[in-house]
Amino acid sequence: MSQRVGEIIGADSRALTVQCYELYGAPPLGTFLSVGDPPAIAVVQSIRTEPLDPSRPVIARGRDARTLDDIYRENPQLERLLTTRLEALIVGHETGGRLVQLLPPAPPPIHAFVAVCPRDLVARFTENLEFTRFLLNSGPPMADEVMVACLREAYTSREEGEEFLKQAGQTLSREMAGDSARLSSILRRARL
Amino acid sequence: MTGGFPFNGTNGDGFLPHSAPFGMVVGGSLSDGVEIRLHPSGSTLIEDVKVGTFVTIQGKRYRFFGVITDLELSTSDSGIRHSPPESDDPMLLEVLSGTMAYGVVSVMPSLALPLAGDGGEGPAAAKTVPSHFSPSYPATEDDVASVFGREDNQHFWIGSPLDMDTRVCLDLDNLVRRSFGVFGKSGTGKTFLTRLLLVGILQGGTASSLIFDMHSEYGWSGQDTDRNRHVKGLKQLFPSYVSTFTLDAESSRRRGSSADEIVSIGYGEIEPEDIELLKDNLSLSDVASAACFNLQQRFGGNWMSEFLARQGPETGDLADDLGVNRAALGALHNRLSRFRRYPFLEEGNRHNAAARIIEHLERGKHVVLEFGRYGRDLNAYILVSNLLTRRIHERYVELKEEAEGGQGKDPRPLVIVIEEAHRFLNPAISSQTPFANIARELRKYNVTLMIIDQRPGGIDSEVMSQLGTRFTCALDNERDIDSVLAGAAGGRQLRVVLSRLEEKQQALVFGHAVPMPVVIHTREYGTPESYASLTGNVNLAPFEDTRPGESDAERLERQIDELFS
Repeated sequence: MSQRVGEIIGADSRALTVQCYELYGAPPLGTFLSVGDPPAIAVVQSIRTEPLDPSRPVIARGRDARTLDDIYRENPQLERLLTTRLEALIVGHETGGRLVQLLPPAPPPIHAFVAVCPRDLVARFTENLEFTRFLLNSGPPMADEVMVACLREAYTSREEGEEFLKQAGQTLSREMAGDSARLSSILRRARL
Repeated sequence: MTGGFPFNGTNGDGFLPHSAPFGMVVGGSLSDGVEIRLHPSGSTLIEDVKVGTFVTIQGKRYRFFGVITDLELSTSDSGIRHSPPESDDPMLLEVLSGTMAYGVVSVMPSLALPLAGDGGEGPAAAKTVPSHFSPSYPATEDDVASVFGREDNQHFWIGSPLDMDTRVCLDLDNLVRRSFGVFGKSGTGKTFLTRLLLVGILQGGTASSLIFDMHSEYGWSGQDTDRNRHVKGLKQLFPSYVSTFTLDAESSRRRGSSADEIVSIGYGEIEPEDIELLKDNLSLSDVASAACFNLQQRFGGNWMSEFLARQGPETGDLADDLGVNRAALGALHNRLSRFRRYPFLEEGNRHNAAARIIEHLERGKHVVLEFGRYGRDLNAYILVSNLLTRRIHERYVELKEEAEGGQGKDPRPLVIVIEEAHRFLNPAISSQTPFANIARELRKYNVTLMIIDQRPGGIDSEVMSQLGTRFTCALDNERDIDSVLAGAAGGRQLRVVLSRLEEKQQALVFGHAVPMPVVIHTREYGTPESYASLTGNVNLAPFEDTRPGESDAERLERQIDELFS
């Protein structure tokens, strides 16, 4: 059973904005998400927590508190005033029962449910490594960090993780033909 | 097949390879050869690919055949050279190997076989290059056969391509049609290769050979110094097809060889030109060597005997008489007196060794002239080989002209085999030797040369340029390498191949006798199996010891005479 974490509050063909149901309830960077039905597959590329009402900026409250928990305990309204949102990059979708590493013809609708992909779906989706192009081309400064996080997740989701990482590295090396240092850095950090 | 170069043997249909390609064409040119990037999967390790290996490239319209001429380690990121990855991360090294860091193989496509057509056409010289991304395969046995032909009477198995068990054959007709050379530094297998080539010529049956056997190693038997054993010579392998002549009967006897004829040469047969060739070896001045012509003018054909008969002051008087410098003539007398040490030189001019040799050659025999102990004396070798060749040259020119005039049949093609050629085919004196003439023009008169030498750089370039086929074992000296490759198509690329030949039993062959340059591992010679394969697989016509115009009864009588004489 996939774990629902939030729903779409903004979407374009390439990226999604998701509001999480729980404050600080976003899945980790690089997590594969399943959005809507039939699902579009997206990867968490940034997470932010901010006021629900942009006109009410957050102010510091902890001058007399000893711990962070004290602040939230003494200000229970914060749970209602703050929200956690994430940006996810679309890397593929399911069509005709088949997972393809293409952008869907149209972005998922607003309020579509967003869930964390189960491990078997991640393993199935990452059998083909073309999706890494989307991540690499998503632009600095976060692209490499997301790639590392994403590879870490795919790597840990399968038994033959080392072999997967090697194949991913070979795929990436074609994309990054002139930049071995960047590739080395990604592969090294993916195994940390 | 040895090593790790992927190779699945023959492909059955002989056309489309079924072994996996080891790479694909990614660049290059007709003049410099094509570049083949090794397969990114890393299935072929560059260390398993060797320069000189025979490969094929499957283009869209042609199947190309070529040899690997160079190997290069290349990278898509120049930064790898400056900041290589950490060597303690094997996975990272594995990822980068074959993708960002990869091997490039340079191949010189020499031949192209059209893919369309009835299959009747053979491969022809490549006039184009395979298109981008054409896959390249290690050559199969069928590829080798389609390029070099299958072994038969006109195709002689000389060796195998590198890392293959299949047979590379020489086209014997093309081989003997023009002069050819066997080169290589000492101890690289020239002599063994020469023995094989001589067997090939014998088996081909279209030409006779005359071997000036400096070290007496081709006729009866020779030495395999590496394995410390005796190897059989031509006479032992093909007794009825080979005649051995010797200058040194005693040496032949000691070696267990029964020479068919003992060669004697008359002083009267020596000409001033023969002495002029020895000018440097005898340390004669120009004036002294030129004096021979004065002596010949004065005394006629027997000039040398007459001259050597003079003693002390008589030489001085003769010099005055001839108008030649006394000291020069004295020096000439002194040097020529050394010839008295040669027992094979005798008085008179009717010994006619050349005529006897020609007689054997015309009967289709192959003649080995063993020098015995005189092989160590370069003067004797140069004198005798030049003198005999000059006579044979003249006779062949006469025979050919008679044949052209309808008065006789074409003389049987002849290959004259000489060693240490750089000593008398160097630019300073080559023009005075009959050998230079043969190399230049005697193809017309059915005579060609086989030059065996370890210093080809010392041979006149004009002679080298006339060599149709060159067999080159390992060479070190730059000048020698330049000389061997001069004028060869793709010479620059072949230079790399040549410089990487192994010291033993490997040779680069290129020229008329092979459709494309190839590195061979020379066929085995010297074991009982090798003798059996050399003598057993050929259908040599039984030797007909009949001379032109001779009846059976006359032949029998002559043979009885020869037997008991």
